[in-house]
Amino acid sequence: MIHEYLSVFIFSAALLSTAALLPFLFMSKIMVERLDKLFNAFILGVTSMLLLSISNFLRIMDPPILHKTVEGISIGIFMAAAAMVIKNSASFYVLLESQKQLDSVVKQKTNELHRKVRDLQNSRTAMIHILKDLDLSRKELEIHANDLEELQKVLADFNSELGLEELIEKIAPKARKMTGARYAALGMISRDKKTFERFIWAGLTKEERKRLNGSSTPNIKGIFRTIIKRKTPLLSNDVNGDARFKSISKNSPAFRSFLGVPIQFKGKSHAVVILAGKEGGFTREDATMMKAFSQGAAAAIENARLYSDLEEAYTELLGIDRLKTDIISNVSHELRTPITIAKTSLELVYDEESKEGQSNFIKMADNALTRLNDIVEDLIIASDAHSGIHKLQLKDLSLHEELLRFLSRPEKWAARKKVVLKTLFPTRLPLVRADPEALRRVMENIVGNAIKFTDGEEGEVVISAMTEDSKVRLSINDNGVGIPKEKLNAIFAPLYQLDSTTTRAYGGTGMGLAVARSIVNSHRGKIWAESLVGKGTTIHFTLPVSKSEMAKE
Amino acid sequence: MKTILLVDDEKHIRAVTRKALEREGYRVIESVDGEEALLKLDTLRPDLILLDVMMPGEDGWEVCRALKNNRDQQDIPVVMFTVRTSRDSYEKSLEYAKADAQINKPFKIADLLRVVSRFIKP
Repeated sequence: MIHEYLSVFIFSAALLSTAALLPFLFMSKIMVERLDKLFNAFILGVTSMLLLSISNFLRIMDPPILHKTVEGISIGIFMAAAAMVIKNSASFYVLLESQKQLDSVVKQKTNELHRKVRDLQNSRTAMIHILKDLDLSRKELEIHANDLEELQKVLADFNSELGLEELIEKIAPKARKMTGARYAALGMISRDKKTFERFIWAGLTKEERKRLNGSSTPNIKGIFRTIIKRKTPLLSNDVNGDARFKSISKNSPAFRSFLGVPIQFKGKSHAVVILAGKEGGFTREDATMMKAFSQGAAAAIENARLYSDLEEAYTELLGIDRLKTDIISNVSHELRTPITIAKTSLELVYDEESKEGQSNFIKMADNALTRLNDIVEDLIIASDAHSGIHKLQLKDLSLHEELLRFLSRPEKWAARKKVVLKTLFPTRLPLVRADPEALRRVMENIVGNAIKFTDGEEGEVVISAMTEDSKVRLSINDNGVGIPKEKLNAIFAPLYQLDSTTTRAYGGTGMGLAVARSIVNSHRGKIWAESLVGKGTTIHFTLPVSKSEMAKE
Repeated sequence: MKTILLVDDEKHIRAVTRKALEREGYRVIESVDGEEALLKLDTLRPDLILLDVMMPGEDGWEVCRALKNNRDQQDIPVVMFTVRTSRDSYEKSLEYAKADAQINKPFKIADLLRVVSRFIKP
């Protein structure tokens, strides 16, 4: 009987426990993972239940042995199922606990996260503020950079302005533009430093200008004296009641804000820039900028003053130079009159009374006059060349044909000094484009010089010619005294001879080569010299080949 | 005998030039400047005028230009007689003053006579 009750109890318990487990089975997601094991427990429960029913059935049926066996097996199976259920319940509880913990951790973490997000949001707002601030200051910086750039441009413009008048006209308008002031003015300090010699306003309306017209430039006292003395910008955004400002003309427009800047160069005050009336008043930055502005303007004024002094001096020099050239030219021309009288007189005497003995002296006097006349001619050509009135009459010339004429006088000079004069011309030489009279002068001057500075003993002057591209080069070589290397370039300068002793020893005006150079240059040719002291000198010069020759080739 | 009017402010230039011309057989009348020369030309008709350029008062070029613009006198040959020998001066003598020739000072007597003989023979 006890077996009967026990089995019914166990069966009911198993049934109940299985039923109790079921909701958990479906409720928890986590249980799903363990579904297979619970299912096993469930099957075991059901099996033990079936076996118990069978054992009851068998007990009624008898034989008892089979009934006992089945009952034992069913109890064993039930125990296993019960154990499994208990185990599962325990692990489920653990699971539940850990889930709770997890939940709280998640909650905690979420809260933390929320807090962090809030913090982040806060800091983002802060960041935006900072960025905004940054942006503002960046804009400010940009403004300053623009100002600086503008300042640089303005000062560069000032610096390139060399006319003092033009420069001082520019300063006030630029200062006004740069600071945004209503009015600006530049006062140029006079030499006695008591008044302004100029006071230039910018930004005046027609009426304001009219009112100021005719009023004298202000004296340097009051505010002006203060500005000049302190040497740094003076800023005041409320000038009302300040007595110092009365020194500005009473006819000048009214203003409340004021910025005055001295313009100084190396401690010397040139001028004062004043800026007046700015909406919101002038700032420190305005003052700083105007300080830089005034420094630049001061340097520019100094430059322009120096330039105008220089220009004045240059004009004066040009005048003196012209006067000198004119004097040389006039004197030279005047000299020709007495030379004419003397020469013609001598010629008349020579013809009329050509007695032996006397005629020699007459010839000497005539030669001397011819030389004197040559010097005068050199002077005239040099002064003409200097004043640029030397005109050429270009012709196509054959150097072969002209050579005889060019050398008629040098040949006489060479013969007199017993210097050998040779020419080395190639058989074919292109025609050159030159003024025959000018070219004769060049040849006479260069060859004459060569003869002059060459000794009679084995003295030799060689004239050679060669074609060089579109030029003909003529070279006059001598084996005379030579010219030191450092003086080689100077020989083409007017009035040049190595030193005064050579002038005494060799005579002449020292203008021959200068005249030759100016003539060669006006032919677009080149002239240069090579020399070795004691060995001799070669003067080269080039002449352009005539265009007709160029066409032939 | 051909007459030459010699205009030059330099007394000695006039003296030597006169001598050279007279020796050749010309008759020479002198004037010291352009003004005097023009006055003389009212009553006198020379066969040639030898005219200095640089003179006090009106210069030789202006005198010559005035003569050449005067219908009664434009046929008289005028030879400029000058120390101004530059190309510019030469051009001014021929083109502006319309002179017939130019003799540069200092001159060789033979050259003077050759130029004069281009216009008149003694």
